[in-house]
Amino acid sequence: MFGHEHSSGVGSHFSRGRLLQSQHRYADAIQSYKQALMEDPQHTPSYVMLALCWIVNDDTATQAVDAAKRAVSLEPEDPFARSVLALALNAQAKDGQKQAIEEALKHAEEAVSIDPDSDFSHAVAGRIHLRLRNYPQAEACARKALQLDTENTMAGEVLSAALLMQKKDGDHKSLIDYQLQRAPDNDSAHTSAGWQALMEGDHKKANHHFLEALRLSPMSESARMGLVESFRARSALYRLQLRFAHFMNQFTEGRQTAIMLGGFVAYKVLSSSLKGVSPVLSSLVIGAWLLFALWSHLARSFGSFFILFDRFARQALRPREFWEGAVVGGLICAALACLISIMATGHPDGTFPAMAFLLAAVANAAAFTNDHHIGRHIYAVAGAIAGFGALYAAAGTFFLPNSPSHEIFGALAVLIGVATSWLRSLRVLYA
Amino acid sequence: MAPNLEALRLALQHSPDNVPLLLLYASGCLEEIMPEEAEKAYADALKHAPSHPEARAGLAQVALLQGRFSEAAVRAEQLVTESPRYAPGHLLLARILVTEGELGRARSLYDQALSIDPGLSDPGLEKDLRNVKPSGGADSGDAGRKRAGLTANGGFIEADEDSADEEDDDDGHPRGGAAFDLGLADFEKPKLSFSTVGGMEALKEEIRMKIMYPLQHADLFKAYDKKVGGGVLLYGPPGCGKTLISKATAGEIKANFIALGLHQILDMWIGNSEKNMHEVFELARKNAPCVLFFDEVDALAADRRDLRQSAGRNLINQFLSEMDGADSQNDGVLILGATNAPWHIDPAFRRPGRFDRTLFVPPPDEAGRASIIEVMAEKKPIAELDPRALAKKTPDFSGADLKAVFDLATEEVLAEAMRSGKVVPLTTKDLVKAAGRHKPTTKAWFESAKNYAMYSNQSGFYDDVLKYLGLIKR
Repeated sequence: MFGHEHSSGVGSHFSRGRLLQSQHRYADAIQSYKQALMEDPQHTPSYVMLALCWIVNDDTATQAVDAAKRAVSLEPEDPFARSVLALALNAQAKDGQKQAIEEALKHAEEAVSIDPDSDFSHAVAGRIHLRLRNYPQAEACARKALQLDTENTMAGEVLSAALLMQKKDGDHKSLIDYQLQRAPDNDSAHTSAGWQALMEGDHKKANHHFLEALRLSPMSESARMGLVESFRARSALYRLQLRFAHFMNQFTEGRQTAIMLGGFVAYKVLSSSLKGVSPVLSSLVIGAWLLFALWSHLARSFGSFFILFDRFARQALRPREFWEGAVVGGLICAALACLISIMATGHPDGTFPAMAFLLAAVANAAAFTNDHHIGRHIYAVAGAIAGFGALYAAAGTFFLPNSPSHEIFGALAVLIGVATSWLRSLRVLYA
Repeated sequence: MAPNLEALRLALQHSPDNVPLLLLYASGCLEEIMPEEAEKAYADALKHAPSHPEARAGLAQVALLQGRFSEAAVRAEQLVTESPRYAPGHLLLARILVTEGELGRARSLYDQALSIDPGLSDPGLEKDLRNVKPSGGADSGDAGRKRAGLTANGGFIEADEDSADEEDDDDGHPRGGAAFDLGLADFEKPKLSFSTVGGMEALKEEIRMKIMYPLQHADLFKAYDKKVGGGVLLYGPPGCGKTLISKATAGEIKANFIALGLHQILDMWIGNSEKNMHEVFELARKNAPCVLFFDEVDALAADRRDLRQSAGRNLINQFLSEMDGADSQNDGVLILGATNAPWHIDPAFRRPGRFDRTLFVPPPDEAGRASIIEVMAEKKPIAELDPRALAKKTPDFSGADLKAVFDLATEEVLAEAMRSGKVVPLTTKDLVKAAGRHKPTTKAWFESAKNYAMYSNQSGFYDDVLKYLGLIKR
């Protein structure tokens, strides 16, 4: 990658930095690179490596970009420096900042054009394509990188994810088998195998692979997320949901939206045409549709809710996932409690707060799963208002009948829930 | 006078014996080019702490600033001789010698300063000393040494031909040679003991069982053909007293204590790091009973899978071989390793005979925190302090976190002092308020540690972490 200058002080500091970096001692490595730069402020490799050390931590992403930009300004024709700049820009961009990610992609493609034989440049371009959901391009870049270096880990991970997201199951399985045969201790291969098993509905096999991946690399976020999914998938209904999502993955995003809208129109036509013929059938169609719509929004969070009761499994949850389970699960339970109270006491107005709780759960489920840099705040506020509205409506209905405007608050919760369900499905301010 | 300096002067009126405050004020005076004031403050500090290196360096600096070069040189020479591990002393003497044209010796001193503390690099001085060959002894100004040691950044330290083979001097410790090259010329028996370390009672008891009793009953061990010594790995979040408890352990067993950091061993010249490692072990063997303490041992014993083809693998192999005592016996040598990242240590180090005993050093308990708070409060103007109350409000705080709390509270009070123009002493309330603004840094460590403990807990290595987190029964 870089020529080592053992004869000079710069080379000594730089080599020490490389060694420390390989030992994950990033703070010490950064010190060494800075010392190298004090001796030679034009030492491009030190800037590049500084950027790679700073990328590791979200809080220092901006410093990583600055260092990488300095490297590129010193050596504009260095494909490695440019690829690192692309990586740094990609790390700095938040979810939903499409323009910033596309800017990173430009640098990655520039690096590829400078040196088409650099596997690292191809892998970086693939990784950014993957984040932009350009799965075919991500696959092509990863394949090119693997052609140049079969051991490129980043390219292997990108290819696996791209194949999975395009539902190219045959190719994906061959890739996993190849990786596991070559290196049974490859944590990313186990992670890929886990996701493939999960999409096929085999949650036990998936769980086994994710635990193995975590044993080999306990800090792997992808393996942790997979493990949590495998715990959620203990529910047969959630497994159905995953299979449906995997089935939809074979279509482009546009087609997925078209299918969803088509389904809605079909449901409307069918339910209204059945109304005249058989009101019971019509009600069944409406009920099935509502159940499907609600379930698709609530399944994940409800799965997290059940994980809370498992002492081992809940340790895998991040605090946000923990609260997702607690809040959404709590709201669903409150809705069920309202329905039970109707059956038990025959309270005439119990249906309305139940509906408010259910739709507040939909709004909160969207809020907890949204990573969009602006949308997450808007959805969070909407979720909080809906939750409060549902609680107030329930209190007004069951305990404080004279509380003012409780029906309006309940209606607000319902409206927010319905609006959120559409906005989430159409990915408006949602990532 | 700058407002900060004025506030410090006022604080000194309130607390004239406060050495850290005097030093802070003196250094502020130097920055504001007020050498007379600085000199007086440094001299006052020396009255209370006669061997304080910072105060002594300050006086030399003042002399240099006022053009009294000979006095500056004499003061700095004395400082370097008496406190050879005080890197700023070497740096200061190097600067003085540059002004006097003694570039060769200045180079040696500068290299020595950097080998002790690499963070002290001075680009200006480096420019003056570029292409200068080092000469002369670095620590005391004695005649040059024959034995040439390479410092971390490639400079030479030469040793006197006559004295090169001498291993002992007045106090019975070897000087020169390996110890000198590695910056270990001042290793000694620590005066610390368990009684001087607050809290950590459970850990102390564990150390007694795992380390001290075997050493005290060495004959019994020999009867069973079992070696005394070996390796103990201390791991835990940063800033929780791993180094302190190691020193106290050495103090308790009345053994020599050699503390080593990454920079004393790691040398980018191929083969030198391995040589350094061997020499350190040889030194410990010659001075048994001896505690060899490796701070941040994960850097020297890194997982070889992470290093692939790197030359760092040879150093790890050398470390393993020295621990095994392949060529020499390690009887009476206790190897302590401390790390914040035990998961980055090569599994080979955990095998029997190496770091086969592990101790988890958790954040200080309430009693420990109260003791730390009392010690920290000694250096501050305090109106009233309830260490127990503050300790109660700071669960999971490490020693470093408590220091941050004091710093935060001091900043707040200093701002108030500057507004009112008089000294405002710290109170427990200020500290509790500051504690509310500081998040314990140990949390991030436990987040990582939890993952390793949950999913990669081979042979129960992380059981203590799981117990501490309440995930398994104690």
